[in-house]
Amino acid sequence: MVTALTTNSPQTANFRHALLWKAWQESRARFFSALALVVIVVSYAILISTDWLARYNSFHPTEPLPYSAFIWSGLFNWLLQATWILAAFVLGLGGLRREGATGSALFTLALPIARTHLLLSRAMVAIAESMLLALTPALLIPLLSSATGHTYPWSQGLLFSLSMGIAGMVFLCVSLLLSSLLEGEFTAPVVGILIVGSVFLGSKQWQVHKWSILDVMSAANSIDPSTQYLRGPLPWLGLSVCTLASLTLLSCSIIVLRRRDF
Amino acid sequence: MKMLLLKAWTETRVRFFSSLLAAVVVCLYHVTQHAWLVTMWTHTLANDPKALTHFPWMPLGISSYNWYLWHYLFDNYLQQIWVLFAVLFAFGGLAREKLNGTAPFSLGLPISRKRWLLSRLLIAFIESIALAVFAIAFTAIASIAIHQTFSVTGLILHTTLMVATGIFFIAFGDLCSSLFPGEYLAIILTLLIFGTPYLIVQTYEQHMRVLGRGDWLRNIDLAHIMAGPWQLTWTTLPWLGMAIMWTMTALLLIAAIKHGDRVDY
Repeated sequence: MVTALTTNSPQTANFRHALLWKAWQESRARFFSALALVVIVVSYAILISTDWLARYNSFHPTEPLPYSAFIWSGLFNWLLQATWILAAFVLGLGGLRREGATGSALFTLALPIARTHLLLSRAMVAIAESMLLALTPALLIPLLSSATGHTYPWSQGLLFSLSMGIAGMVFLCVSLLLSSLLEGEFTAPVVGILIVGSVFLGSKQWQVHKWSILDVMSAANSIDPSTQYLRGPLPWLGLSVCTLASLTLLSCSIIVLRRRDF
Repeated sequence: MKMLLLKAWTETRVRFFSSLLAAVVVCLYHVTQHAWLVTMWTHTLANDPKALTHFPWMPLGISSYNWYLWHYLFDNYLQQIWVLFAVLFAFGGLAREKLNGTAPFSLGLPISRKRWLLSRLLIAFIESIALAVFAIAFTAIASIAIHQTFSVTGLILHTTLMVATGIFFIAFGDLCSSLFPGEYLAIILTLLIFGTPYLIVQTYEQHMRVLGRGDWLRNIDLAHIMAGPWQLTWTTLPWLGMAIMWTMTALLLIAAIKHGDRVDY
């Protein structure tokens, strides 16, 4: 647990910097681990792609799978998406409720800062870290693709990554809300796993499939079925609904935290 | 000893009850999806002449409910959920107590660190067994409710194999929990070190088996060792894989005990 020292500069801006620094200190190990996880997943998928596609296409010679379809279905619509959701969820954990359990909440609460600012600074850092994680594949996929003799457009990687990051903020905000509600170190992650798992299985049901947040994250309804490139604009309606849901969850977290007695 | 077990149970019971809920969600989903999937597969086979080439397992999926249960539960989702919770049950202990500042109280008791560790692992193991038993009992009841017949022996054998070999994950989770004491760090590092290779190799090797091909990666496909072949008998049990996993479990436990003895709280 890191305690921000702010005794020399009472200005609000300095406090905010200190809070951001504190949130970064507390989450940076998780961030770098998650970054390594994302890099491993993307590198693995691209490194096996040539061999995998050759085998697949020899088995299905009449319907060869293009490299772009492999990248979208294997990464943006599956493995990378799952990895990112888990990483974003873990990055959102922590905060005052958890500090209450470890006994350091009173030090943080003694600072002349509203609880809302405490939560928002943590949320800002988690959002920035999650967006960085989402944008890493946009850089990594075209680079590694060219290194393995394939091409993947930068713009496609960037748009899919943006869609994943913006829509996926819902999972980060669920994590922030659970962190405000539950204090056990493993309680919030376990409840989160249940929620994410239920969303995953629920989204497979055809009755609710069109409302699937996972499809908004991968822009599944805006891709070309054969190449699996984005063929139109991003799913803005879905992204707007997800952003609204994220803001609602964040507001709920603030309300819960403000009413909580530490 | 009873008090140590009670303490370990109190610390992990929320995780345990959550795992039961997760098992219900996973098992209920796949049992209720059976009729719909069989209809879809039958329709696909009748209308698409290439379907049998692309999906050679489809006739088996249509005709055998035992294969369906094995494929969706023991070879995929139930196993993954079980592994995840087995790791989570093993998390905790003195390293986490140090973080909360309660480690000196526990260490003040006249009990060796080894005994602390073993009592916690015993509870984690019992909870893992209870989770597996609950999941198959629930699956059996749900299957009867949808008028499906299944092999009880097959369910018991697959569950026994999953738990017997999956003990490795309890030892692994415990070691990770004591090595990475930061807040939530153990969860993400465990995923990084083991979760990713476990899931990637599992998926890759499943695809290779559909293609009828094999490579060296099948030797480290722990998920397939835990699932075994779908018609499991004494002769088809993966004895070599089981022996390797038990050896690795023993090594991890020794490492956890040695590390626990050397840590300065």
